[in-house]
Amino acid sequence: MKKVCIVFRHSPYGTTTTREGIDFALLSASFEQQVSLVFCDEAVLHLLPNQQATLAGSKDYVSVFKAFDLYEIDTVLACKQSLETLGINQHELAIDVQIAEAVAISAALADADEVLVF
Amino acid sequence: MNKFIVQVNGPAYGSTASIRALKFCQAATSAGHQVIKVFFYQDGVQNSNSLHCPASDEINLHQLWVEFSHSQQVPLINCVSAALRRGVLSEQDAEENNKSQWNSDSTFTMGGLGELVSGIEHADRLVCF
Amino acid sequence: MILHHIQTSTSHDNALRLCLRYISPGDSIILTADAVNVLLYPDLIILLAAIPIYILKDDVEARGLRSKLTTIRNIEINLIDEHEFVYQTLRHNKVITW
Repeated sequence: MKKVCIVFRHSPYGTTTTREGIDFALLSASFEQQVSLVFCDEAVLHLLPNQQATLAGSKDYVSVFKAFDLYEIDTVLACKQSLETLGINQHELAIDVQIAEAVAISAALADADEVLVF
Repeated sequence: MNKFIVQVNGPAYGSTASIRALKFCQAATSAGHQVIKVFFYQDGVQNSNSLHCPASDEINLHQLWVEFSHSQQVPLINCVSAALRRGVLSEQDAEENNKSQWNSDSTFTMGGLGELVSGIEHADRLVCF
Repeated sequence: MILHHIQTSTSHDNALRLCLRYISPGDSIILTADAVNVLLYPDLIILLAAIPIYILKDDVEARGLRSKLTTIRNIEINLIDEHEFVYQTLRHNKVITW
C-alpha cells in the first residue's frame, strides 16, 4: 500500500483531465491505496453544487464526489487561496472538504509516496 | 538499480511529452535501471496507433516506442478505457465493440488503471510526462 | 525533498505558479519543454532565486537559448542531460509533474 496524493488543478469541463484523474483516484482507493485529494486553482470549481455536466457534453463525474467516504478517501483538501481568489465561501461547497492553507497542502505533498497532478 | 514507472499523457504528435518520456526511459535503462512499465493515459494512448505515417524526414514516435519496448523488454500498457474513448482499439477491442478496424499495435497491451496503481506500488519512482 | 517537473510555459499555463505556492525548502524544480522559457521573464526569475533549478539541455539547445539562459545571474541554474534527470529523480524523494 502506498500513500498516493492526487492533485486537481484544471477547471471543470474545459478539458477531460479531471474526469480521468477522478477515475484514477477511485480506482487507487478501491485497490486499497491510501488516497488523498487536493483541489486547487480553478479545479475548486468542481466543488460547487448544481452542476449539469451533460450540458457541456461531459459525463457527470462530479456527483460521485459525495461518495468519497465510501471509497475511504478521508482527506480531501481545497486550497483556501484558490477559493478566495474565485470568491467562493466554504458554505457554498457541495461536499465536505478541509479548507487548506498552502502550508497544509505542501505538507500533504511531502507526506505522500507519490503525487499525480491532473 | 532502481525501478521506474513512467506515465505518458501526451500524444505521439502534437506535444513533446512523449519524446521526453522516451528519452527518459532510454537514459534510465542505459544507466542500468529498470523501467517496469510505461503506462499511457489520457492523450498518451494515441502513441499506440500503428497508423501514424509521418513523412520520412520526421520522427515516428510510435515506431520508436515499439523498438524501445522490444529492445529493452519494457511493457507498454495502454489504459483501455482512455483508449476506447479516443478511438484507439486493439484487435480484441474491435471484435468486442463490433468494429471492422483496429489501430493499436500489439506491442502495446490494453490494461486497466489497476496496471498504473500496481506499477506505482512496485516502483521506486513514478515519473509523469 | 521533491523534484517539481514543469513542462509548460507560464504564458498559457499556471503550473509553475501553483508549484511555487506549494514548494517547500529543500525542493528543486526541473524546467522542460516550453517551461525553459520561464527563465526569460525577469519577474519569474526573482521568484525562483532561492530554488535549485534544473533545465534540460536538449530543450534549451533546441530553442537556441543556451547562451541566453546560462548567463543569467543571481540564480542557480543547472543545465543537465537525460542521464542527470534520471539521477535527480532518484536523489529527490519523489517527482511531481505539474
